[in-house]
Amino acid sequence: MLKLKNIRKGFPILARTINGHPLVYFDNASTAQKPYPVIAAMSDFYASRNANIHRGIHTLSYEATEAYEAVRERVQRFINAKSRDEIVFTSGTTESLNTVAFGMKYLLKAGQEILLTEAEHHSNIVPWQIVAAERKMKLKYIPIKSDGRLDLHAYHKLLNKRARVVAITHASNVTGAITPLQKIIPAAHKMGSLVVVDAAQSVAHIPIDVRRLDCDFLAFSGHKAYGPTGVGVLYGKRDLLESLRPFKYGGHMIKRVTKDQTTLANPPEKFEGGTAPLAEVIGLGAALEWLEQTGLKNIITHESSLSRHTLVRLRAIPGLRLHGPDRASARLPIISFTLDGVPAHDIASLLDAQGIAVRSGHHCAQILHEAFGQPATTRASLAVYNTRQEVDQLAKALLYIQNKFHGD
Amino acid sequence: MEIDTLYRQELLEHYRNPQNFGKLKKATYCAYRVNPLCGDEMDLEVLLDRNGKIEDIAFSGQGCAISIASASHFTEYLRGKSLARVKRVDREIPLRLLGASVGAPRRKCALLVYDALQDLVKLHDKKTGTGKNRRNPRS
Ligand SMILES: Cc1ncc(COP(=O)(O)O)c(C=O)c1O
Repeated sequence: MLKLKNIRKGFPILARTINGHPLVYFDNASTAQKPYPVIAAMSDFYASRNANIHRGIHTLSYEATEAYEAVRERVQRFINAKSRDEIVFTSGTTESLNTVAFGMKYLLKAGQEILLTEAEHHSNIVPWQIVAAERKMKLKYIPIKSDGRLDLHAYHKLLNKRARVVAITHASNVTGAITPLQKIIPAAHKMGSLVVVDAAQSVAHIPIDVRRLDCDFLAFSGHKAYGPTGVGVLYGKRDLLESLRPFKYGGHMIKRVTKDQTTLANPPEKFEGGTAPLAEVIGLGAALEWLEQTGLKNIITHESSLSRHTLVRLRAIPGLRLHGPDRASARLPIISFTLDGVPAHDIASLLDAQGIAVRSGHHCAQILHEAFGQPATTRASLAVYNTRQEVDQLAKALLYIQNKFHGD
Repeated sequence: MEIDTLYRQELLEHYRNPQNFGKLKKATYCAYRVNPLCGDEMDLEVLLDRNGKIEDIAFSGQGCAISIASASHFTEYLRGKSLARVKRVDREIPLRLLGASVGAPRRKCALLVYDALQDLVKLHDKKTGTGKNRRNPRS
């Protein structure tokens, strides 16, 4: 069981007031807040352990290197990768996905196909569009049903032997719908296609086991998992990482440089050109440790119950339309909605006036909003420290806003 | 609460029943603006009379209450003025017309109509060859 009070105490920002009200932070899908241990680990790194890694034999450099590599091993265990060499540190999901798309470009041929879904975040669409255009490949979109779930039937029809890549989100950042990867991945492999999983949203909410999933690549960011911004992870099966070309060249990613040529390092160093975001990697390690100590199982129990409560409360508001699966168990605690006659941005502004932080807009998923026929939605995305009272406050505020707009 | 003052019934009335909302049958210039941040879209059209005065003006599109109410007020304000005069209208005017302080995060919404107007002025300058040596208002 989670001790919610203690959990909340661990997040200093939750003590803030916004416009005279205690902060209710419901924008966790954009970025999550950071617990003390993460903040402390980073400031401690700068205060007493800062040095560049792999560069010096002095004590500090040695210690920094050890700490950095220990996080790699923590990530490896966290997602159950086979080897530490399969964990590449990047600046975030976006860089991870770009590393795969542009690293794989040279292996792709005209006439081959890339499958995406209509629910992808722009960062899992745009790199593939560029690569597809360059390599004269075809891009196909797996449709999303009106309740936000993937149309599996359509997926099987779209998938054929020409497919080389299926790039797919583990969970939508708009509807929270969880993708049935256990059905997607084996089908893709049977056709000889690789599968790239965008786990930006899922990583802090559902356990990830890359070996059980058997995905070929998986990407996530530190900052959505209670860690710092500026750091992310690319997991790749070892032989596949070996076959990718890096797109960042410079120091640290080489074995030997002569006037004429360079021998590249092996993965993961091959992809980590330049000085890494050291304090951020250390912060990521602290975030994963915090997640493990809090227990993903406890977090899931709390968040599912909160999701159910939110769905019930929001469904009771007349004129409110929810986007996403009906059942709380089929989704992350991400709840997007539209309110009849009230534009999304006005909802967000008026909620902010009461200290409630939500996001409004297309959430970097314009294709999905087009499919829903909505230019913008309002999104309340919940996390481990949110409470039922906060959800009740949201529901009450929405009723107030609605009355205001309808002139009562 | 400041924002509650902004979203008073007078503003919401302009949102629900905006002035000058729709398309003109005949227009001298049209401009289209989007606010990429929030997806608000606006078409702004004017019909000029022989003396270069705004005889008719209309806006259309989709937007939040602030961008619609602001366009409703501002198009009323512009009607009957010459484009030459409109050129010198300060960026604060549409904000002032809303009658309450617009917080920094929403200024872009309130100014969408103003930015569209700058595009119209540019079209006019291009067509008439004026304004080349004159500094354009900030856009
Ligand atoms: C599903 C999904 N993919 C990718 C991203 C991009 O993550 P980042 O901006 O950290 O690179 C996000 C974050 O907004 C997301 O929600």
